[in-house]
Amino acid sequence: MRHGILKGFSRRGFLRGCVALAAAPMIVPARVLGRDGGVAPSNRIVFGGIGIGNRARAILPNFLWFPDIQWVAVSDARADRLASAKELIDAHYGTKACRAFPDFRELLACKEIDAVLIATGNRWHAMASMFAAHAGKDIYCEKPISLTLGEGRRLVETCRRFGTIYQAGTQRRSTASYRFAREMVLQGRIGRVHTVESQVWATGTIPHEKATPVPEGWNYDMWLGPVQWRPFVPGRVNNWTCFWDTGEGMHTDMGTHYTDQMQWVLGTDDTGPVEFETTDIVWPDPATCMSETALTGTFRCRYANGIKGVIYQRGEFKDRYIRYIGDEGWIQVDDDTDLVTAQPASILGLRSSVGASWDNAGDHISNLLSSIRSRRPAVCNPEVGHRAQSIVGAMTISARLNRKLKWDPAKERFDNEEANRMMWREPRTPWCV
Amino acid sequence: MCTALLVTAMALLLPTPSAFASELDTFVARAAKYESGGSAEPLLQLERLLREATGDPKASAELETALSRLLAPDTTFEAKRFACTYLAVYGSEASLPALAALLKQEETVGIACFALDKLPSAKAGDLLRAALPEAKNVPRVQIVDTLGHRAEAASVKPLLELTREADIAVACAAIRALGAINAVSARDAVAALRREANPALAIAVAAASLNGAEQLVAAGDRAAAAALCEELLLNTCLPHIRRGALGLCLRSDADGGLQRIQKLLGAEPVDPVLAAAAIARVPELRGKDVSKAFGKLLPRLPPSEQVLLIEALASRADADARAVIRTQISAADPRVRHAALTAVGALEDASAVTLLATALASATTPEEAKDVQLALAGLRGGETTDLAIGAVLRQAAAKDKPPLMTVLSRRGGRTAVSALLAQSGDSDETVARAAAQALARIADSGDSTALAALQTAVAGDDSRVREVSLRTLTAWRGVAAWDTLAGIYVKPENDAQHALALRGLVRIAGDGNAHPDAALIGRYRQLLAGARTDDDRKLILNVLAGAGHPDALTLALPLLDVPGVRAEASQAVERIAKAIQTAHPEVARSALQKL
Repeated sequence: MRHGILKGFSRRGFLRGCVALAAAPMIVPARVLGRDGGVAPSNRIVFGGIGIGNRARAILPNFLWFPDIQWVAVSDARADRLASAKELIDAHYGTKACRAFPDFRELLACKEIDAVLIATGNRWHAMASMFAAHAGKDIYCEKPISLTLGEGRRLVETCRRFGTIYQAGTQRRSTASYRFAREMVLQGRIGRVHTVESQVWATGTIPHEKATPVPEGWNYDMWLGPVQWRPFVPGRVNNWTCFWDTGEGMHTDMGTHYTDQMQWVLGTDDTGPVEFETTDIVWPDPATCMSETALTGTFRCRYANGIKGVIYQRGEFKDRYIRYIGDEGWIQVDDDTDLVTAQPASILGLRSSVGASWDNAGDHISNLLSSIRSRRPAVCNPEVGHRAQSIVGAMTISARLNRKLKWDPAKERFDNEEANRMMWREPRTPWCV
Repeated sequence: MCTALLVTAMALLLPTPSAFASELDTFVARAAKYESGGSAEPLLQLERLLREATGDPKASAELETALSRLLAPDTTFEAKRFACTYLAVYGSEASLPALAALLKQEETVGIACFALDKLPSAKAGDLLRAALPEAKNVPRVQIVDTLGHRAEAASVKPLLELTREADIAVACAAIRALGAINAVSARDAVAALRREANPALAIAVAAASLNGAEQLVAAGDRAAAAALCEELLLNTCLPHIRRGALGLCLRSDADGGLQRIQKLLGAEPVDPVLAAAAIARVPELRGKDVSKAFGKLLPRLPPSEQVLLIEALASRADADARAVIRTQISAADPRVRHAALTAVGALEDASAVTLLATALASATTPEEAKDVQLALAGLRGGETTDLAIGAVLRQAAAKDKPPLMTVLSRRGGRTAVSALLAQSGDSDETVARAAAQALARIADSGDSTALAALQTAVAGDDSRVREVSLRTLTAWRGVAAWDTLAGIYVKPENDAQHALALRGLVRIAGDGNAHPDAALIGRYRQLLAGARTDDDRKLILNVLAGAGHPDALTLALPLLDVPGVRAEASQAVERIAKAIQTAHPEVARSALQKL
């Protein structure tokens, strides 16, 4: 009998998503851990959640499905979300035991917690992860893993320093359609890849709004976290993706999924492109809009071997895709439908298995759990996540400076001093560790 | 030359000096009053000018002065915030006096540090250090954090003093900052704090110590780093500190950590915190006999660590590692056996078939048998492995055959089909039934190689094999078996074959009802054309009724005139007409009128 949050969550669908589970030497089956198919309490991985908003609620069922996960605590800067998250977890377990912490640092101080899901707004991802690593917790963190290149590098160093197991929420690495596309490229089915093209959707504009009092139940100071203080403006807070200090725009937020795929397929997980350029950027009108990030645009990069990457920010939400283009064909994954198309179409006949689409992160979580037990790096470990994020981060800087930038992926430095100074933003105290 | 050209070009692009200054004044005056809700245009104009001034020292200086003017006491906070954001990118020593004033106020210390952190001049550090004595509470921690990020050796002394503060937040920030400074004095200061062992500061000190050890490794002083890490490896330290220290040691050990890992795993008892982290490194170790050495250590470990070591050896995948893993499929602990079987299935080929078949025959629980079956199903080697399993199957006792046939059905392919068809004629009813079930699983998988094998078999010389093959084809997933079944439907050897083929064809057609199209209608047309009896037609009409397509009506309507199937035809016409009446109202109405 599944409780509240898992109602309507199909077991068959979930298991279909976990096709890799049986093949990989990952999790010891429940039957060998405890009695009657359950998991012995001492073998459970105890989780807490930091930032339990819309994204967390979407992914939480994927976590709760695993019998070897015990969710014991939640934290959020908003009282309404905190209360509803506790209610949700308690309903799942049929208890009142989930602890609710307005301050995530108290959650991190709980010794029984092994790992955390970080699903805050983007401004918090890297810093909350570093707080967690300092506290000895393993981490599943939603993407983008950071907002600046410097922050990402510090995250990598911090996790390495404490031996933290970290999984970035770029779960398409664990999604069957994307795995198939990669396999076909690696098998040379489209010849030599020369371009990796992707598309994210165009963003709207946010009109100017005056500051208002902070709503009751919000810890706005904590909500802002490392970002330099600004007055509470509802339109800005609710559309934080469209502002430089809290979101960095859609090519960053969604684009990092695609740069992660590109890096994976090209085998460049520990390095990256050498050149960045942006064109056709349409900015919001500052006279009428307070939003800052690009509405549409083309974000390009080039690797040392000449392979090009491009992210188009245009069209509608449903139009997002990634396409690998080679000298003998192409293969594309449509994110909205999870449909794979290719030229030559015969490539599609080679697909032997299907799985759940990206919205089921079961395999990705399974990989994290396995890594926590074995202490071996997860598939989207900090270096992998940082390198993927670096690409969109560098594109952002190129766009903001309106210039082509050269990048040394070994030293992680641009050929331009202003660009280098944009790689890090000093966090606001006390939201720094 | 290029620079001169660039400067000239920039000068042409920018407004004339007087116009530029005037434009700047206008933007600054408007930006100084900026608050949320108002137009951000002056801010964006200033940003544009900053971008365009790159390479023009004079314009850049004027713009920096303009940004500094936005830090005056009479500007809004949001104007100051904007100015600091851009001084962080474009600022120089010239803006230090204006920023100094902001360091004194709690409201603005954050944005001042935001700008100062990235200012390249050492004087920015001097300014921050000078502000420390008067700063209190949050501003003090902010300045300390920024000094840590600037990581200047000159900050060690003032930071060291702050580590004695009663305010734990200040002391921890100071320790954190010291850890970030790559200087002997900073490491010495942290070492002294380590010796003092104040519990309230323990995590900060340990983290700073790890930072210091990393600096020593980077500087090539492995011995000093190792000595420092030894202190952090003590089991009085927190687990993540110990794991971090071990990781650093392993990364910096000349042998990649081989001896250290062997020592750790050879200890009695094994350290539960460090063992997993040590084993995680095993796949990366280089050298002859490494796998063999860990194979010797394996039996000494607790089962949970044995599992991890088997997985690590599986990642190494060399001959020694595989030999070790093979020995563990009969281990006493079920977790170890499971890990070994999983690894064997992923790594081995036909050479492991006999070993696994023996394990399968001796499995004591259904779970264990399933593990072995999965391993057999996963073996590499394609058809060669299939043949080896087929050979074992032929020799096996009747009771051991069903699980082996399950394995073959999972593997699929031509050889599996051939072996299963042979077993389907076994005199032992249990074996024959298991073979049929295994073939049904293959049918459900839709494996194209297996389909080809069945298509050959259904036209072969052995009548029993032909019948079993046909039965399997009737259950085939998708439409791939249609043509074969349709051929038999039209030209069967006997009525039974006709009936079987029709059953399979009707099932395939029915599956297509969810997306009715011209191809589906064509299939129904083919079925009706080949129908021999009213019973055939009844069966077809029952399924045709679910095809919501106007051409389905065209097929069903003439059958209203066939007395033996009129009732079924009426029902079909009614259902189809109702299904299409929204999209094709005229056709539906006309059909319903004929009932």
